[in-house]
Amino acid sequence: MKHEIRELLPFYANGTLDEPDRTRVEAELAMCAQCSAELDELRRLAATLRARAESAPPPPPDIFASALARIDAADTAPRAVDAQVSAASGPRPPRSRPRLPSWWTIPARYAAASLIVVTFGAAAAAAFEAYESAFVGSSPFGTGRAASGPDTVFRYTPNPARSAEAAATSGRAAAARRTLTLTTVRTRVAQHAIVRVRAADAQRTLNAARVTIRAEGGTFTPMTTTMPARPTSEAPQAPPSSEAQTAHAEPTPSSEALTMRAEVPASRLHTTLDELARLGTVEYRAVTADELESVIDDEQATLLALRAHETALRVRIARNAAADDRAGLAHELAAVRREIAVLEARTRSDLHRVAAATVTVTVENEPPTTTSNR
Amino acid sequence: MSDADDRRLLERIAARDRVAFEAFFRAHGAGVHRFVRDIVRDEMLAEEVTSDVMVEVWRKAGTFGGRSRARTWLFGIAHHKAIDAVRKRRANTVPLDDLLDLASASGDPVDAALRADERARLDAALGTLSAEHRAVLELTYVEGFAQTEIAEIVGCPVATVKTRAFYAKQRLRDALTAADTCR
Repeated sequence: MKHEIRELLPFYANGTLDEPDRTRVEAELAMCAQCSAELDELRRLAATLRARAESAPPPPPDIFASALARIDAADTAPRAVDAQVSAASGPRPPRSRPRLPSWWTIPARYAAASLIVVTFGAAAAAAFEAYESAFVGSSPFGTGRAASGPDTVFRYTPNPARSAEAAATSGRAAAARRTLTLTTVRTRVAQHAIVRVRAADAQRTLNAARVTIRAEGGTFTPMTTTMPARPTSEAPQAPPSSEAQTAHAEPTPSSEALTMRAEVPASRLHTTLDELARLGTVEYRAVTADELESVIDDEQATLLALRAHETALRVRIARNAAADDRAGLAHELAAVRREIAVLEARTRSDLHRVAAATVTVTVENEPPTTTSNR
Repeated sequence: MSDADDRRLLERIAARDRVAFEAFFRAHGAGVHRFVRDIVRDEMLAEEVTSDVMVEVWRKAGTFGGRSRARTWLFGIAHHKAIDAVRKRRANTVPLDDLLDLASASGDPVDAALRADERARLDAALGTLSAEHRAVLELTYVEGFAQTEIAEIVGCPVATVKTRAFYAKQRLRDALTAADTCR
């Protein structure tokens, strides 16, 4: 067998030879029994190796998350120092970010309505929306908010009082916190707004509300809920919690109200509410907020500690622990990674709740001017 | 997934699109991990190197020049990282034994035992080869790359790849034969 042909056979066997080489090999194969035997052997080898590959165990499920965590760590560190970052998700429309006030007051125009605003206001949350959406957007299985990523990243800063409180309950979390730098103070809240509007044409007004929400960078569920309208004098209730019946673009009788749920960037919540208020007569408007500062602080600190623990385990394994130890350490490593995955998902969800305020919009038809049913 | 799809994903990854990154590794992650594991022959190290490869793709996607297939570029990174890891830890490479229970899912325990035995023999024989030879076997017979592509992946002339592919097969056959005579 010619040496030249022998070296081409593996690539004839895997079907990647170009035309001239293939022709040469085939000419040789027609004349050389040894070549044919060699080719048979190579084909068997290929089949064996492929079968072995196909039955190989898949990569660990958390390997992707682990790579993304490393990317996040690498991406975030220098940006936090600079406190400026370019958009992390490619081109997107320019987005102006209002100068942040050092304090926040309830706008007088909201006071006229039945308004509930908890202590931690929207502006405080808005100040950190950029940071939060960066974190949410950077998650391996992100909520899609990366598309509206931040202009500015603020360094993560735990509330010192809360840190002290947490230190008493979680040594691990508190230890992790010590590595963080205090540069600013903030409060994270999950906001929910309820707006109830009366308008001449409920369906048209609801469509206009959708346009408004989209213009503010929000999203809404395509489904609307139809429910009986309340008497005008009735005290406001909690927003409908279930979508019992749905109606799509149907003209609604005056006895019904249309409701939809939407999400808007937390920083745009009050602008959105202002815009929605222009669509009709505001019957009721409220903003409630759940404070998540301590929850997220604890989640993030615990995550830092878990990742440090994971790294330590990997180092110990890599340093050639005895075989028995390796098995135990590998088991522990898997458990730590599971814990990290669960906690990451929970943190992403909480950060999303902070970054995106929910809005329940209800539009009722204006009552008829004449009472014809009596 | 076609090369055009891969290229589009790499472009999006270069623009920091995590969805594209996930899609890219959903398509190629298992192959890369298997290739790396066969070179380094250590589960933990393979995981680490695969993660290194992913991070490198994220960082370097923008440098993909498009002269080769995206897969070739990817396996070039994987090969470089894996060989580098082997060289750093050549003195204490741990034999890969986690794969021996693969056949345990089979319905017939005798079949399973036979297959596991065959698998163990093959793994042991592959273990006697150099990392470079294992890489060429994997790239040729499992991943189905052309000789020029393998040359690009491993950073050697085509002539070296051909010689390596030939000797890798010879060494594997010798190792399997030796294993047979020792049974």
